[in-house]
Amino acid sequence: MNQKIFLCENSIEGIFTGVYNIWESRYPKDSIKLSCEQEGNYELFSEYINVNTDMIKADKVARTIEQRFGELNYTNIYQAACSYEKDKANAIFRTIQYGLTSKTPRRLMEHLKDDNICRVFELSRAVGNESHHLLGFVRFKELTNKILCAVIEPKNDVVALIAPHFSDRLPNENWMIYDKGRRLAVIHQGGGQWGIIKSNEFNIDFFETVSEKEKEFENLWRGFCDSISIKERENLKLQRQNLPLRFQKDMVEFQR
Amino acid sequence: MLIQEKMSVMEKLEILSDAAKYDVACTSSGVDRKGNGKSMGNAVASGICHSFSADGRCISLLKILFTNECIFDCKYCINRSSNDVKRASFTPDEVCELTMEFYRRNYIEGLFLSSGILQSPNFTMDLIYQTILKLRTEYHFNGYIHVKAIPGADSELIQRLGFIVDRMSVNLELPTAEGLKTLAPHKNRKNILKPMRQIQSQITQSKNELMIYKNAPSFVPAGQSTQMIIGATPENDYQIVSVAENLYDKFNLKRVFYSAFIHVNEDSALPALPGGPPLLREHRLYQADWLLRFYGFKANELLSADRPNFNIMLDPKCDWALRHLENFPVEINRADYYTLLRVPGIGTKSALRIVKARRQAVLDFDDVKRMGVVLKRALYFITCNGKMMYKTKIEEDYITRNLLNLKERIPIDVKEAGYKQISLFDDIRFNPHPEIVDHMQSIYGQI
Ligand code: SF4
Repeated sequence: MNQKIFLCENSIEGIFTGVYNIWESRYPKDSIKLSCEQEGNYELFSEYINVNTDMIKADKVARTIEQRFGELNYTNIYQAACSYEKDKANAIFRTIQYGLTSKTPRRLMEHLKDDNICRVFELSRAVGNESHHLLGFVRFKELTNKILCAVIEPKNDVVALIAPHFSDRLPNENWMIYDKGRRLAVIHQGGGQWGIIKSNEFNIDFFETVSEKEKEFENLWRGFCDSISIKERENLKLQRQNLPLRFQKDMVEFQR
Repeated sequence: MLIQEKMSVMEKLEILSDAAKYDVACTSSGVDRKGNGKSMGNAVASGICHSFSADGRCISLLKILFTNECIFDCKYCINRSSNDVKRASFTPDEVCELTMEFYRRNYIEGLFLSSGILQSPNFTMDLIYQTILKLRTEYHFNGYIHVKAIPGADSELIQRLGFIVDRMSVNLELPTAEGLKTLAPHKNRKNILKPMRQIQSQITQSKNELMIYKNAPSFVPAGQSTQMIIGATPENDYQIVSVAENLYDKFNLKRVFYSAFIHVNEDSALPALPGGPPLLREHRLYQADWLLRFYGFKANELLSADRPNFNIMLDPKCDWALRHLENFPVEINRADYYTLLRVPGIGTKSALRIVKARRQAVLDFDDVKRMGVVLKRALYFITCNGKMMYKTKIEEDYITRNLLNLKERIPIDVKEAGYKQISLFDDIRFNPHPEIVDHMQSIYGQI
């Protein structure tokens, strides 16, 4: 049997549109794969079908998932779609497919015996963990115009997942969190909303023009981090295990 | 005792965070509070770690003393009155500004404020109260605040403070009243338990009122905690765990923290501890504490007067299971949640996953492994579909030897970090390749 590979954009909308197009296509589902790997290894005996991201279709899929499977399962699927792992699209497609024929769709994530569901669950956990870490590890610098700016380099696409937390916490500040790798920024206006901007044109040189006070507080914070540590218990291995180096490089207390 | 008038905030911060570092309670957990759209701050029930210091401990709160001056002379404490150390005091505004500016930059989850005793317990408690009041009302800080209640302060002061903070703690200091008498001559057990009891009953009262009036102010919503020093006085593990159990049962504490005694003062009343702070012992106590709180164990199941100390080589759960082989093996597809929890290698999360997943399908060893169970530990204690993973002797010596050969993942989180502390019984990594880290080696070179 000739395998059909639906190729979608690497985004949640892309993946959901892919799922929609597969439903619509009426091909036997067993022979279908969904992939968001744009320049992956082409498989010789497969037919490739391109998916054009369509917000309306994606939205229909999202709503179906939420209604049929409940909010918790939706969150898991959504988070899995933010993963950096390439096999996520197919695992998500299969998981949704499983749920639609399941007698207990609201317990979808409990079917851990199924490989795809297990994978979605695993991806979702990894994304959830990284987001949770970043809630703590994000470091804002105050610029001369009082705007708070942070740079992060997460493995997974988490800016949209962490934005609500900071918007709730710092409602009156103008702030921005920039995902350097993805050239993606979430921007929040004091007293207002937040939004996400993606652009290849971002120039973050202005991040260097920090306010007068900024240096002072950075130094105070570094001093604090040093003096709060107990010499007799020093354990750098443990520190690195809890706070991997990839996070450390964007945190002021480790920039000396 | 000299206080320099013109000490910089930097110097003060160094002195007063250095002096606070022995307090182990740094978690920011226990309360969910949404932002109000106006002030700065919210609180997240699971707690958030913002950084990790060089000792590997989580930094969540700006942990400082208001002052390290003290009229008391507790023998184990670096700030005791008879020590000749540099003294400093913050002003309330300095504390507020540091908290606000650190918080805005997302360095911290909130403030942890403790203090040496300046003039009198009341005077000190009032200073702390004024500072927190200022932070809440003038600086509009809505994040997490943990304060120490000073034993001996008026109950009315403690009450007022309780309504504007999230967590309060009174340090038990030492596990028994005798220990306290020898090492902290100015303190007594009664003075410590009294505010603890007061906080407990006001928490209960406030919860009741909240059920009737939605907008009633809440008192210490994240609950109270305490800590005790391990290894400075001769109590055994059984005494310590029993004290903790009592604190949980009778005082409704949220957390009991244990801190391995660190030798900072030369004093004939203090033990020498040539091997450094008793970190592995502290770690075993945290494991046992976890068993008390989440695994349904009782202190007298884990230890007894005849066997008053934990096995240094094995974690308390393995140790228990080996002494109760008659209860095993248990069937994964049938055993109830609490029975599963008693299996070495199964943690709260994996037990929950098993209970849910088996409603959908019959589970085998591969499934169980994927759910986060550490099979090489659990295999002696479980069956799937009536079968053991492979033929093995169910015999104490044999299993003990095998378990000892496994490197124990002495967790990375032996301390306080609320949400991080799940790793104790090896179930955090759902990912089937748990990283085995042998900390025992680094802490206790010879083992
Ligand atoms: S009361 Fe005792 S423990 Fe507290 S600061 Fe003073 S000397 Fe130290």
